[in-house]
Amino acid sequence: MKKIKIALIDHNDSFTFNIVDLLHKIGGNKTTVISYKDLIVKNLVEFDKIILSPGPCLPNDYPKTLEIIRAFYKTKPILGICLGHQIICAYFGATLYNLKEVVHGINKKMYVLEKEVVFKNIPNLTEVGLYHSWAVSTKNLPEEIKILAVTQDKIIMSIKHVEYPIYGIQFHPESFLTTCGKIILNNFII
Amino acid sequence: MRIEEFIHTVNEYTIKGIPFLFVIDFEKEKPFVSKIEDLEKENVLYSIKNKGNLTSKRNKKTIPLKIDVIDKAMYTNAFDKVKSNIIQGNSYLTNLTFPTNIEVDIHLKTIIEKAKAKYKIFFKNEFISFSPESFIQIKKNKIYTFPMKGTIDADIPNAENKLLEDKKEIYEHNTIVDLMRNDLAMVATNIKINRFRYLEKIKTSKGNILQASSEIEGVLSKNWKMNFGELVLKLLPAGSISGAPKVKTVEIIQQAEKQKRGYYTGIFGVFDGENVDSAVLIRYIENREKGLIYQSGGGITSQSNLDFEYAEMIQKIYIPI
Repeated sequence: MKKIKIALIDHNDSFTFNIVDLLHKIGGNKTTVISYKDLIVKNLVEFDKIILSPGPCLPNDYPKTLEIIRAFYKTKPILGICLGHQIICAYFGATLYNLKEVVHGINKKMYVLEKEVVFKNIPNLTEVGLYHSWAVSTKNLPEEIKILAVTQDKIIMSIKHVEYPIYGIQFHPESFLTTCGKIILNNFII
Repeated sequence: MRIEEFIHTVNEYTIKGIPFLFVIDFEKEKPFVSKIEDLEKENVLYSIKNKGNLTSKRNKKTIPLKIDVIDKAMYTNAFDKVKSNIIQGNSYLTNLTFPTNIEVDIHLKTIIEKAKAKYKIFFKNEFISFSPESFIQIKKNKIYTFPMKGTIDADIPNAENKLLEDKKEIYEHNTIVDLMRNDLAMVATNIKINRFRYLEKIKTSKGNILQASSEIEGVLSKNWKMNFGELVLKLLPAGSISGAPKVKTVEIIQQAEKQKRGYYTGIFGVFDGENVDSAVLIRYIENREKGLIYQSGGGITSQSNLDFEYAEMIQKIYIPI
């Protein structure tokens, strides 16, 4: 069987290789890690799917990643994790806000509202690992963006583009704190 | 020694099965490597789990230590800088450390002979470290790491539960486990957590402390010996003494600490011809022109409290006996 070619964009993060390890355990894919500084957007044409890693700072600090979404959102499935999710949401016009209480290394319960592709076979209530100090605001959420999951305190945990297979997840599927991380990534890559 | 020369020498010795000791500083500017048989000549002594060329002269007599800690205002300034970076989303966990001037009546070599620790090194009269913290171990084709995060005075009532149930400690330990899983995944596959937050008791000149660690494992490629030098450097600086995400966090550390760490929070290790064992250079005393300094610190997270962190930095200035 032909292996799915995945481009994993690394935003100077220290969890990127947890994603690599998880994709390796899932199998059936050939993943290439591309560090942000070496990223040439047009070269991503050759990949089947794109994953945007977590990372420090804010969407506007990564203009080339915003450019990836502009160039490929109609043609390639994209999954953004944490910062990657925030970059996707920012591209479509959503706003971010600084959490009153930042959550780093914390696991919380997540409620799945829509069992879209990435949440296939995931229980309605599941444990996820969090590392974030910013979140996507539910106020003025663009029409193209649909919420798929939230925490108990109503923080957006996952979104999808209404038309294209563009997914954002605020939690970290690669963290050992997330119970169903492997299934979620597998759902995206198959 | 330049880093390229270090990598070259380490790879050569590893491939040929020649036992050697290596030391790398936090900034990766002055790496050191020597065949075990040449260590005496280099004035380097070590012991790892009681094996090595360093003889122990242990007795229960404590070593009196006079300490002169950095000004609280200076610490506060650095702490605030780190904390605001964490709230801004630039770091999840940042390890903040400072040197403390100390006075002690005996020679560094005598201290290291007396100190009780899994990993001990005396390096050319420049520094000593009596570290409880493993960095990596390689046995056959498997690599292990043992990040240590979480310390408590073991003599307070219910210390074990207090440490294990402390939210700040849990979150910080979670972060370090995810970080070290990531780091092993840079050089290995099939990463597993073998043990999570196990406790060890350490006797010090000031009383007993409890430390929490985890054990993480990965599978190396069969020919890891071909490029062991590159492998080690990829893992540095060690996650437990820097933070996450690493690159940005190291920038924040440099802005807050405003001085080089040198060998402190670097690593040292030994290749015995087959396997590797190594330690993070913490619990560290350095010989400077103006006298001795003891370097210590701790992990800062969004939940960190200034007074508590300042006290923890001071609590870690001890000689284990």
